[in-house]
Amino acid sequence: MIRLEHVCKTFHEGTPEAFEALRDISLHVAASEMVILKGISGSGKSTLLSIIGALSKPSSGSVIVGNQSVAKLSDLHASHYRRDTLGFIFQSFNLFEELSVEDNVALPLIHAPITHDEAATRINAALERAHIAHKRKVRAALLSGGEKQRCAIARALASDPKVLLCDEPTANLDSQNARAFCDNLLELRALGKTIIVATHDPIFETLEGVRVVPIVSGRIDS
Amino acid sequence: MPAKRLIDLLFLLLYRHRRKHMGVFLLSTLIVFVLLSFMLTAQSLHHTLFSALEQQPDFIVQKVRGGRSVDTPTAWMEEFARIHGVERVAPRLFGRYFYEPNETHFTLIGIDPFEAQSSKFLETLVAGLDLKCFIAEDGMLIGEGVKAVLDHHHFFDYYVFRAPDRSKIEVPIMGTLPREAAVLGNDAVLLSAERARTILGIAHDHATDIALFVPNPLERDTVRDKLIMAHFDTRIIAKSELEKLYERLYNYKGALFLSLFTAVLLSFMMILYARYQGLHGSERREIAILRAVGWSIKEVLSLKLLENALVAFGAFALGFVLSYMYVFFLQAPLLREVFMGFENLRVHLWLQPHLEGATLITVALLYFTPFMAAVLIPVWRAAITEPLEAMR
Ligand SMILES: Nc1ncnc2c1ncn2[C@@H]1O[C@H](COP(=O)(O)OP(=O)(O)O)[C@@H](O)[C@H]1O
Ligand SMILES: [Mg+2]
Repeated sequence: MIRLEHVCKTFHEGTPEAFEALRDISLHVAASEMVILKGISGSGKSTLLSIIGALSKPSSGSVIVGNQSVAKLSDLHASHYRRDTLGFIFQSFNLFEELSVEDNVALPLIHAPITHDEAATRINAALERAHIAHKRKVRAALLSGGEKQRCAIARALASDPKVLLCDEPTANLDSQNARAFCDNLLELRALGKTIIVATHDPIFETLEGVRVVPIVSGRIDS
Repeated sequence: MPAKRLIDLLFLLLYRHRRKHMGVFLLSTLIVFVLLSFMLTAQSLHHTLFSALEQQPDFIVQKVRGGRSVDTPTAWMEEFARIHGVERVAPRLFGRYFYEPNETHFTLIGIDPFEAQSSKFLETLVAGLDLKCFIAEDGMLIGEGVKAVLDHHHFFDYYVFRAPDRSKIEVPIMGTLPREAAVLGNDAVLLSAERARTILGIAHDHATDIALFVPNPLERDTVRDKLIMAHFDTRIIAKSELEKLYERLYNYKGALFLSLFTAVLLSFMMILYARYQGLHGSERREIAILRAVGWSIKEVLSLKLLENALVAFGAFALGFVLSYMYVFFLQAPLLREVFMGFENLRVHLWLQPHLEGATLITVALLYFTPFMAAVLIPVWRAAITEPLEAMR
């Protein structure tokens, strides 16, 4: 499903501040696999996720998701790719606090070429799968941390993507909510989602059937 | 997807950034107000002056002696009427009457009430006048400025003029000139030709000057040449020269204001730019989130464009309404003095509502272009940076 070959990323290339954040990363992730990128802060996990998500471009190497090469997509194609293939989940939720849960979930679909009914169906499905349907009309600002993260999951699921990318998703959750989040991810994996989680939370290593990939200073530690 | 969600999002953004928007909105309203007030005043004056000028004769001939204007013999009229191209010749009777108590001047204009109907200019002046009554009582019509002065001295029904031979001439006041006539009529006193002659001391075979009407512009040069040849001791004033003079005055002021505007606009742009340059952390984050959930840079930009265009447009509309009221209902206090500084202050122009589409478009362009550039460049910069950075 995801194939990274010799991916390198250097920030500020060619300047004295040049910094090699990723070095020769090669990683294959199968469909409906769940991979944990484990590493301390600053090891390059977020950088790797943003490259897989076509939010930034690798300095060298190739990135193939599905059968699409995403390393050199134009902005328009990259945004379509993100909208249709990817769901992002972040540590700090990144919701629009003044919007309702439902409207937050609808954000990715606003420019999607689908009908109103289709969008409504997708939003409903996403809310159900993230177990937040009962709060659909509530403003995001009024949700608890766990509910916010569920809302974020629902938003990531809105376009029914094949791949979920999670960046430190449990860092702002208590252990109970972190557990619930993990269970939710497992359910989604069972539905066929390919999931990559960047984290240093040991809770993920306890999950069944996950592959842990340690990252140290921008390299995969084997 | 329904446009409704996009609109909800739009209003949400407006609400979220209400503080910033409010500041920009007020500043922009002020700019538009100032800009449009200048333009509307200038345009209204231009329109009034030039439409008044249009009704003026094409040539005015004055007799001069030793460089001084003196009364012009009416006998010249016959001669002028024979010049090819001259359609109509008319004597004009007017002069300044010094009103001692106020140390001010009235402009006395002698009219032939029958002639008045054939002249567009006089027609507007005497619009409400009962001709029969005017002839019977041999009274006068006075401008608003004159009325104010006379009222102040309790001359409500009549005024007693002094002729050069010291005789007293009592003239009944029959009414005031309409407001639209103010451009030329504020200090005007309209009375019969006979009365004007007596008070101004103009002999029966003379007039103040002679007006010539030459409708065909192609014939005006030859008419002018013939007028020059006819007499040595004349001054010929062509309407085209007056037009040029007005235009020059007007353009000179226009250039002044244009440079002023440029300065104001530049600082406006800089303020805006500075404001948007330091895009709020929350705004950067917002842009980053939208990008992460699959919006393209173009889609993000158009949303922000729409958001700011609403503010810009609202400010423009409010600025327009305010300036329209300021100029035409309040008669542009302060600003009017700037425009009329070069004129006799006694002349009290009434700013008539007059609006040209071109003005509105010019101001809109002058305003929207820097506004949108100042807003969109920083937003665009935020949109092309890698989103994860903003979302940490
Ligand atoms: N835009 C950037 N410019 C320069 N250095 C960066 C930039 N983004 C990340 N880095 C650096 O790259 C390294 C990896 O960052 P990141 O991928 O965020 O680590 P992690 O997510 O594992 O904590 C860090 O040392 C960070 O300082
Ligand atoms: Mg990180």
